[in-house]
Amino acid sequence: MSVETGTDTALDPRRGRPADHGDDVVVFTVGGRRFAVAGARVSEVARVEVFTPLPSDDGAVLGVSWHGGRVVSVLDPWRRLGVSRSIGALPWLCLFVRGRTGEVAVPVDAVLGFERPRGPAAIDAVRIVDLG
Amino acid sequence: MSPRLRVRHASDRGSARAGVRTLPARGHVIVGVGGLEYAFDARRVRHLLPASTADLANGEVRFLGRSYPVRDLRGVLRAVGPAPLRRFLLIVEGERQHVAFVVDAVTALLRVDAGAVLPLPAAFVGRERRRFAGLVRRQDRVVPLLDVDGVVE
Repeated sequence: MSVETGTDTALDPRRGRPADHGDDVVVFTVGGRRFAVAGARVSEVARVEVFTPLPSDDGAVLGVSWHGGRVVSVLDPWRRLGVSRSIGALPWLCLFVRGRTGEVAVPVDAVLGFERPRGPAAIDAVRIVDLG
Repeated sequence: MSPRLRVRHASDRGSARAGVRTLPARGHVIVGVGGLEYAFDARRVRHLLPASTADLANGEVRFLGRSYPVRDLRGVLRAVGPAPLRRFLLIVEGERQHVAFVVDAVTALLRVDAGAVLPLPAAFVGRERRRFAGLVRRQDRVVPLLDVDGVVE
């Protein structure tokens, strides 16, 4: 299984992301469950330390963060992924993902690294999700 | 004449005189509700009064011969935790609505250039797009800018 040990630096394209991860997924955990998102859509992994709550109608967007000179929407991963758990205290480890509505940050428990899907059996127990 | 702020941009370096541009400045009243900060366009704010128990009970306050319905921002903004004993009425006038908002505190008067007011990200698609006119940069964070008419409606 082609999984790299995930670290913030290894996943940050601006810090030299490996070039051969085009079709890979990034595997992460939320509430003890494993999920994956298309690696090509992950722009950064970083800690969010400043957060502004902004109540939204559907509750799926928690608020915004001023991060790296830009405003990024912060999604509620538990609501989005159907995991029953409440959000913890700041700072949050976040996956920054480019989606249909621009770049969003998703708080996660841990980022495990890149994985190359070779069919459903190859990424056992991982649910590939659309966070955009 | 609207107030103007002299702003030197990083890209202007090397041009000592021509590099200084002026951008229109906008004043904002920063209020506290449930431990969080929100901004109002200062041009919409008419007055700030201590909120009496009678004002809150009546649901209406009179100021300079005009009647303003009282709306508690804690409910609209889903504030959590107990409200402070001493609160304030911020009398504001929108395009269509005139209202006295109950706030926990007024924490700052902020003047920023127009470029520091940012649009709400596209991820927000519900009624919040009417409630929040944008986001105001303040140091290392952003403060939601309330739309008077959108909050009331």
